[in-house]
Amino acid sequence: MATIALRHVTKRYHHTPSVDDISLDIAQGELVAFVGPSGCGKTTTLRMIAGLTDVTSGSILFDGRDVSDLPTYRRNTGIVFQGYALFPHMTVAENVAFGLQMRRVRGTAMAERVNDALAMVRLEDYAHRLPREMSGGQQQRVALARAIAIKPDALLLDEPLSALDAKLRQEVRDEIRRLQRSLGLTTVFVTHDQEEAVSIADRIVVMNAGKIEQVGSPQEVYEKPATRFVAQFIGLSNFLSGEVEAPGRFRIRGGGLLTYGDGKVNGGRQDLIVRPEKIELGAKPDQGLNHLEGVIDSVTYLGPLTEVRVRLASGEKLVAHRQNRRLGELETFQPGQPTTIAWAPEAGFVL
Amino acid sequence: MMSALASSLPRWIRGYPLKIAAYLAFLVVLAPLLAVIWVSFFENKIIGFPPTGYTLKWFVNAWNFERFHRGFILSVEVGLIATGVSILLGVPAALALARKKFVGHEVVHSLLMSPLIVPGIVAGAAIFMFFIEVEVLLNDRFKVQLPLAGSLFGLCVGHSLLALPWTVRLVTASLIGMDRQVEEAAMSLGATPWWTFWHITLPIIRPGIVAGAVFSFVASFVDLEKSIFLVGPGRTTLPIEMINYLEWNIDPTIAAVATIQALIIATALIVSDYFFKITRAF
Repeated sequence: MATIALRHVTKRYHHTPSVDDISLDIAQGELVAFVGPSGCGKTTTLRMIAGLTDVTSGSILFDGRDVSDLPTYRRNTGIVFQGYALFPHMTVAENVAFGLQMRRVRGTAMAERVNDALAMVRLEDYAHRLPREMSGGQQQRVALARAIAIKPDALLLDEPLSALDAKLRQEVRDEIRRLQRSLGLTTVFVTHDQEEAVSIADRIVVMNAGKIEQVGSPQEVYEKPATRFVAQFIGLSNFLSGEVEAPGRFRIRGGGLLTYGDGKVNGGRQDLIVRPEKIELGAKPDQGLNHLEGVIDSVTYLGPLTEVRVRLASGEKLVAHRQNRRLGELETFQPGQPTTIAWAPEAGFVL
Repeated sequence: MMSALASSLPRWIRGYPLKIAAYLAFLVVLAPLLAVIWVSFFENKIIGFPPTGYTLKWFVNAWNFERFHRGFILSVEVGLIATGVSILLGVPAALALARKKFVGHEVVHSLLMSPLIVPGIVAGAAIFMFFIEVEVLLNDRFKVQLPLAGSLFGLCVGHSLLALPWTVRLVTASLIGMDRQVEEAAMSLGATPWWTFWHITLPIIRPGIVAGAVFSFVASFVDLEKSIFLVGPGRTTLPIEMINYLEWNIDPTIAAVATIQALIIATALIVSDYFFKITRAF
């Protein structure tokens, strides 16, 4: 277990940067999720930390020690891939033992550590199975046991849940989080799924086009996105076009004046951003809230919540999420009906 | 297992008609072989129908025929040597073709596959002429007498060529089908590239290598067209001994030999599939 530091790490393929000058410090025992659309450089970054891909420039430090030039087999990292990547010709126990064999662990010490690792993922009874005789979720847990058995300096997870179905995904996710916490493993978790990142990480790194857009806790990244890209990528956002008149005062297209809590104060054309769940539908005018009138455009039932699209006088559409707390409430919203929407000033921000 | 194509067919075709078609195709492939095996037990001196009775004497006859004996041993020897060469050259070649990008990649691949495409007679004649020219050249320039045409060495070179594409093809297929992240996982756990190759890559592609070896041996063992140009006096492979025998005799001895040949090949395939699951290489 170690700290990981990235210093101006860059990867170019044929002169086009895939990862462009990123720097980041990961604390001992921290779980950092790299999230972004495909091709944003998150997997390349993980592969560089693992030593599976060379850095073009910059350096990678484990506990302050430069490992940039070390081949992957000298780095002491445990990797879990999306496709499990278990050794198909070895039993579960042999898979887990492989890294220990490379470390010259033998005899009863070996047997104990293999058993411990398997116990951690609750698969002791499957030691003599072959990978192909197990389900996807079990295979991924074996891969996890194999990676942690070597006591890695860094646990690197490359889309580890993406091949699993929804129910299992949550189960394995919780398993990863529990083990990572109890063993204090410094962990990099790469995913394209922003919900997964928000639910598992201590800190999230949002990447786009080879650069870091924002680093922060899940709450910071969601509630205070640093860039328009982050606001769009992490969760859903409404963008209302208009102008900042004065700090905290925003005039929308069509004339209405709104107030907002946070963000830049420089004037000019801007977007006011507000999250769908912060918007209240059919609210009575109330002091201190932003109010707008519109017409319901569409209503989509999503199970726990209902998504209502409201068309404003300016023609812009806003999405509001409404918890389905009581049965029968849905019928009060029908497309074509006029309605009012409202949100607290501090829920809106300008980038 | 029914393929997507099959399940998209109308329901009335999907059931019995499709199965019947499969069995029919199987029968067409198998019929000549079954006929040969059947004939090998006929009592008739000249192959004819219907049989007048059944006997095992043709097998005894084949066994006692000295030339078949020697032909068989030579065929096995040449087959094993060709298989060895095919594996030693074919596996590294397949690794390069499947894993590396290099100038002339397509050319090398086509050349290695060409023995499967060029007619055996043409290739055999070409190799024969090439050998003669090399012999002449060596003799004229360096005063070295190296018999190639009609020598055991020449025969083995020719058979290695005809075995090589099988190994290259089957091992390449195994390598392409393999998840390379398995190797990366091994290296991340501390295995050097060399160790990873021997303990991870090789075991995973083993069915392809064994299949390549079996098919190399079979291709060499049954080859007739190329060998005609490569055998020499007193050094004749089994298929050519069979052709020679057929020139003067048409008794079922030849069917008996063919039956034994088929039996050996079938055993090789079944045994290797049992141990190495070579069917997974396809």
